[in-house]
Amino acid sequence: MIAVDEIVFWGIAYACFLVAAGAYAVVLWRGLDVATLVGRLTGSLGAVLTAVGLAVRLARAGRWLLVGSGEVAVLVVVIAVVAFLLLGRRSELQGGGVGVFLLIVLLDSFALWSLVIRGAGGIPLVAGGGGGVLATLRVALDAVAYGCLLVGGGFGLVGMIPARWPAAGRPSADAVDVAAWQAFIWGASALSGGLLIGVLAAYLAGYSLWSPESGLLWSMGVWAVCGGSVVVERVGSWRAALATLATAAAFVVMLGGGG
Amino acid sequence: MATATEYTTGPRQRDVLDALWRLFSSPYLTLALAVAVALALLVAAALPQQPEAAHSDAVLRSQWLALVHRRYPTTGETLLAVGALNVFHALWFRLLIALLVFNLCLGLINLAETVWQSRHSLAVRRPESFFAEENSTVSLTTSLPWDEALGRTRRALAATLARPREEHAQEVAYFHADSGPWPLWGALALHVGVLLLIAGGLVSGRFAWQTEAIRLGVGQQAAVHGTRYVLRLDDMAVEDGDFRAGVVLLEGGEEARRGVITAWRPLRGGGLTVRGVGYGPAVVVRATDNTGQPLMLQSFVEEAEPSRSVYLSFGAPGEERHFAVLERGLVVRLVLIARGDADAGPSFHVQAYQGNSVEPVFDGTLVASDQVEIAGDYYLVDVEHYALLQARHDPGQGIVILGLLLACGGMMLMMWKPRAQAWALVAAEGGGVTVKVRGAAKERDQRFVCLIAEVERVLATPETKDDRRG
Repeated sequence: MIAVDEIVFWGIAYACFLVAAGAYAVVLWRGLDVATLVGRLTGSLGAVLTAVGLAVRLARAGRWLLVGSGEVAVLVVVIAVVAFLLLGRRSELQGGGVGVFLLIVLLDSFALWSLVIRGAGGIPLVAGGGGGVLATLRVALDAVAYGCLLVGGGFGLVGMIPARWPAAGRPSADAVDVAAWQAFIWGASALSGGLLIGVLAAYLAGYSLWSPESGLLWSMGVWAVCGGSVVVERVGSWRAALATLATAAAFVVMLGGGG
Repeated sequence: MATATEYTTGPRQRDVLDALWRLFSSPYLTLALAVAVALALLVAAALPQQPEAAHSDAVLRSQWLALVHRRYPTTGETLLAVGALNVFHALWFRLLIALLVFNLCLGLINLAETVWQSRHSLAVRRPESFFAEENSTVSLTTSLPWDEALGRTRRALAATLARPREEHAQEVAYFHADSGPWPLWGALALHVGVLLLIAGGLVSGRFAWQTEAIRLGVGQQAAVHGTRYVLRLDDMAVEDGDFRAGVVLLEGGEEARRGVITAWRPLRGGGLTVRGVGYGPAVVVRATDNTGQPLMLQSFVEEAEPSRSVYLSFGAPGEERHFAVLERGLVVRLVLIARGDADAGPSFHVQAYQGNSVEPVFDGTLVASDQVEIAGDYYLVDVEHYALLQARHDPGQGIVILGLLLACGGMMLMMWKPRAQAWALVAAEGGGVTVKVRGAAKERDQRFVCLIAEVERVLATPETKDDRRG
């Protein structure tokens, strides 16, 4: 039995994310390099502590598969930070970090409310048939999907800031668009992969694909918005940042409904 | 560069039908409807939905309504009225799906037309004004001979894009190249996939059915309602909270399919999917008198007849079952105390009452298969498990899976292989040759940038003049 409590790790991590969001807000406003450094360090530290907290929780529970939307949200937070550090590594994109970390704080608030304050796992977002390898793979793919969409949505938020607002570190519209689209296509691809694996698992387990117990309705909902956004972005004239923001919003709404 | 209108409109004026066509085939409408469907799926996943059987069974329907009013005492009526507890059968959801299908069909026709035009009626030759669009056109002048400039432009287009085509008119050559067929095929696959997904859902909604959970003890069998099949449970084992049920599917008394069902593995056969939805404790009781002669027992379940043994199954702790010993005027009551876990089996509280007495003649606890003596007779109680099985028939499932595969594949193609096309004009002007290139792609598409770089590279001579616009 592990005596350490995951709440300590998650509490410090939450504070780190708040500091990172503040630091990136300074980056956006003033374009200071030192603020970028603070944002990167606190964001990375928050991700590490969140991951350690999740590992502690799972070790205490004696399992390695995530259960419920709360635990999945914690994993998504970690992946979102990693995705931001990878996709937004160009210096001109650092101002976009404020949007990303605002969404990360929002998601982490949901996760902590669900797991710590309410003390429940929430509705199993990625439950359903299969168990074992398929369920693990699906959880991983869904977490990657939502993490990337969150990052794209964060960039999209910054892209929505009116041009007349003073922001020395504002990334260019094209840079935001490229970064948001990169995040979107990785996220949408992982979401599609997760959905197909979920369908395979549900079929193998004999579930009806349309029943809530298959756990597919959540993914299908986000995927539907994702597909619609791709059509609008490709066939219409939407910018990628808008498409990504729409899908990230769908994810947040779904999560809110599930929590 | 901006996404440009790729085809000139016809000579006739646009009328109201054109406007309606554009409205109902609009990708923005697709997105709006996708968001609405997503919200409907959210409601269907978050709120309990009316069981399928309740649509045709008045008793089940009244039980369902009672459950709704108990669970949502203040909002139940409103939720029922707006169809939030029966989303997939609600009129508004069907209208939503119908509109989405209409929108996708029109989008599909538009796409098919684009695919056809891209291969058969694409205007390679464009007027001079077409290359006057400043934001998406680059103009270069070179001193190379016309033939040489023509060949090099052709090679640059072929190196960057696919399917180059060209037309010649006097001293001018026109080129067109695009990113190949995959982006358009991806869009087609996405549309067809979503339509198949919806079609599969409609087929499932119309023709799929599933039974209530069938409770079967070892050796018992039950007909699958509405089919010629019978299910029989041959053996049952419970280990580490999971179960393995040996099940036989019989057709006309003959074995049609045999297999092991677990929580994650169903049995398939005859168009049916038989899934294990749970298990529970059960007892089999046999009784003999002190000379070893069997006693006749009768349970209180409907249509039960006197028999040498009774089978009593239990659900949640606290549930009780009764059976009577006819020759003794005895009624035995069993109450499930605990379902048991990996370490211990289920336990029962056993009481026996004789005649009209309210005082039990026997009062004890049973924790495993055992023999109990009550009023001089011997009762052999075997504790075992029953399986809860559910049979389902869903002819739309394959269509749904095919649709999802197509839709996901199409979306991947659209994302990873974006569409881009370019037109080029090579004209001899004065002593030199002018090359104009116009691209149609998203702002961030790097292929047009690469194409321009390639054209510049292949045309590079000391005298090349870059007259880049925009």
